[in-house]
Amino acid sequence: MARRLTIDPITRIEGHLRIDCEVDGGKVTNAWSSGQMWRGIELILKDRDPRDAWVFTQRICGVCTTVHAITSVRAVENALDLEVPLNAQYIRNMIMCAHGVHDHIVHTYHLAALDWVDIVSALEGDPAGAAKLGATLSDYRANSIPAITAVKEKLGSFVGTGQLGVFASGYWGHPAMALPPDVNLLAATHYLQALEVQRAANKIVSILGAKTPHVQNLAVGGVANPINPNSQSTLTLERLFAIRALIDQLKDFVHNALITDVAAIGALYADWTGYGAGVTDYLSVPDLPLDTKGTTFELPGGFVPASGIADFQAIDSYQDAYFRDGVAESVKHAWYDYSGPGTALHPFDGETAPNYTDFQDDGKYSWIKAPTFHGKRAQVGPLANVLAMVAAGHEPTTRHLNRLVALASQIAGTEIPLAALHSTIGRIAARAVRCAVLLDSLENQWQLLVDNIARGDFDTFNRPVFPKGEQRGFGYHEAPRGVLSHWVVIRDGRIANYQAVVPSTWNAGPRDDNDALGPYEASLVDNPVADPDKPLEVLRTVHSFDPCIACAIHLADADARPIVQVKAL
Amino acid sequence: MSAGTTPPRVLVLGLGNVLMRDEGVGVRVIEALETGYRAPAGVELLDGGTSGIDLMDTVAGCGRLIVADAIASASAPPGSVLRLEGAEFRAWLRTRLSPHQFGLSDLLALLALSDQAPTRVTLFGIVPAEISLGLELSPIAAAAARETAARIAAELAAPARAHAADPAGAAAESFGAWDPAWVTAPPRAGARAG
Repeated sequence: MARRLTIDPITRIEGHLRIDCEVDGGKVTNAWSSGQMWRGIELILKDRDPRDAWVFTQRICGVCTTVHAITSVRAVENALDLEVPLNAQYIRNMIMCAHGVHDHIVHTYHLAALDWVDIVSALEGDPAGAAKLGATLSDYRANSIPAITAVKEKLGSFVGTGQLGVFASGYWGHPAMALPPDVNLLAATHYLQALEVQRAANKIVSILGAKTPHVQNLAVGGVANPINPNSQSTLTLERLFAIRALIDQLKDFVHNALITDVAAIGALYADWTGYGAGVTDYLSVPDLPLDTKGTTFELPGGFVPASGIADFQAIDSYQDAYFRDGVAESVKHAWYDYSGPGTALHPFDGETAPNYTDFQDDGKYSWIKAPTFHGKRAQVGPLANVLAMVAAGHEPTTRHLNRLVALASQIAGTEIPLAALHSTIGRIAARAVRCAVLLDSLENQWQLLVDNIARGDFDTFNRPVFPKGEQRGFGYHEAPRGVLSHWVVIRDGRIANYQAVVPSTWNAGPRDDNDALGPYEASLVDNPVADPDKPLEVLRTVHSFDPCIACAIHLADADARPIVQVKAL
Repeated sequence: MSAGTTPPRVLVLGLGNVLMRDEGVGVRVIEALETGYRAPAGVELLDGGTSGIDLMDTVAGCGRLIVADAIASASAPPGSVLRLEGAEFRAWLRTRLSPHQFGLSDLLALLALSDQAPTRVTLFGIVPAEISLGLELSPIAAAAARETAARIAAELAAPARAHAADPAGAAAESFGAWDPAWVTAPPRAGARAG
């Protein structure tokens, strides 16, 4: 008998995403992804000074504050054709790399891992066995028997007192949990160690951004970090070397625990490389500009069509017309109305007029709009970016990916092909690869900044000038969850229109003008579901995207109510 | 804060989304404390926005955590200020009555797992009147923010700033509409002139 499954909210962190699935014969036959609150940052920004926009956009979301701030100043700079001093580019790049590393570590261990790792089973693990397993994966020094024993005791006392706390929502003992206790124990050990490690990445953002969680050092035209090697109140060599030490801490963990854990767990759940592909047209953007104009980048990006990486089309600059002209948003199935014919609009012409109808399976059912790239749905995120970087021949990406895949193949005892990346597990693997790539880039950007200062360049800011009349600009960033773009129309020095097309809009959006399913929806179809009352498998696929709907929507849900509802159809 | 600084003895953390009117009332309490009172040594004020785990590095190891946040209540009218501690606070964490609880309860649980949870946690929960898109607090929530700031200042023995006869009143004027200090006073002279 077919059954309708509703999971709301689906995120462990804030944000309000509702997923509906029809389940028949043990698998998903149809799916709907719905954002449950509406956004309106555009309405708040209208008529404001474009130089202040970033201060407001970083309040859109508690997870991606920095990301929205930087993308906003890029959009305004683009509208003004304003160049950004090299030091400012490097400082921003370092903030973005550190934020990305932080986000990928936290997502992998603290948000996604518990869909695959059974914490209660970890208590049955043998520290000696887990340590032995760890030693076969890497020479990570924190894989010692005493360290693992200490974690096991701590978990035992936590679970023993009934204080499951953060583990309370896990599906412990679920039939789809397949890891042996020793593997669960090793992963749980790294879960706890990751709590400490992620703070190192956060510290880098704090040092450069002057404050956390909301950076204060940005400005349209550069950054507000004065550089003076001899002054204590500025970005000193001492601070730069503190950052260097933090990078080394992060490298040890990412290379020797995160990459190897993902390879091992991925290999032991190899069947999940067959689920969750969904939309296989992929969009990402280049990032980490290496010049003042944004015409060369450390990390490539572009469009990888379903036909494969041979047909990769690069996005090349902050003026790139292929990107600029390709983005549109549909509201046929979203709770908004457009004036005119009502078909998809380019963000420069975007409108935000709510029209709530109720949840209509064939009509409107989400507060998230449905973006398209040259008329097609596109998946965004680390997987999209890793595929683009491999297509562009980016050496560090290829190196980290090959290492992960080789290790996974060794554990699985079979050669894992690149095509396995088009899957739920593939998204998690690509996130680990991108984390390692960002860490390499963080190190490189640090060196570029230090070298540039050593050459006597202390410039961090170019003053913006707002001419009369209208200017249009867009800024993009390859954020932890994928392509983020802000679009601004400035008229006589004031904001006339502002649209943010966020990563979770691309992935979590509803059906579009052609009724084509969005990436979340498409990835869920054919997903197995052993027990509709405990839809762990659905969560695995949705969580693999790292959903963070707070960007699109944010607000209170005051009523306590069951998270999973199942009804017969 | 930078690497290597010692954690504060007391951290006063304001949570909320300032884009959603009274939803951001916790952040406004921090603004009222910053403008109206002098924080004693060892007391740090932080606008946490809607962050969760990003706050871990700041909250870790602090002795006492005071949280100001919007709180939903079936019985208390809008503008009520509820002070919860100990078992009451833990019970509140379990009921999911704040939009930020996923962040805050996870944060505290993760800190407990790594033995760095604050020894004492106090919540000042303010019942909102208006939650909708916008920067201005409702008059009811604005008054409650002033009251909360005054109560927190009294608990911490934070003196009122000398220049203001009515510090809470002076602070209130600064957050009629959300306008963070660095918007009007740029961090670097000249950065905003143009």
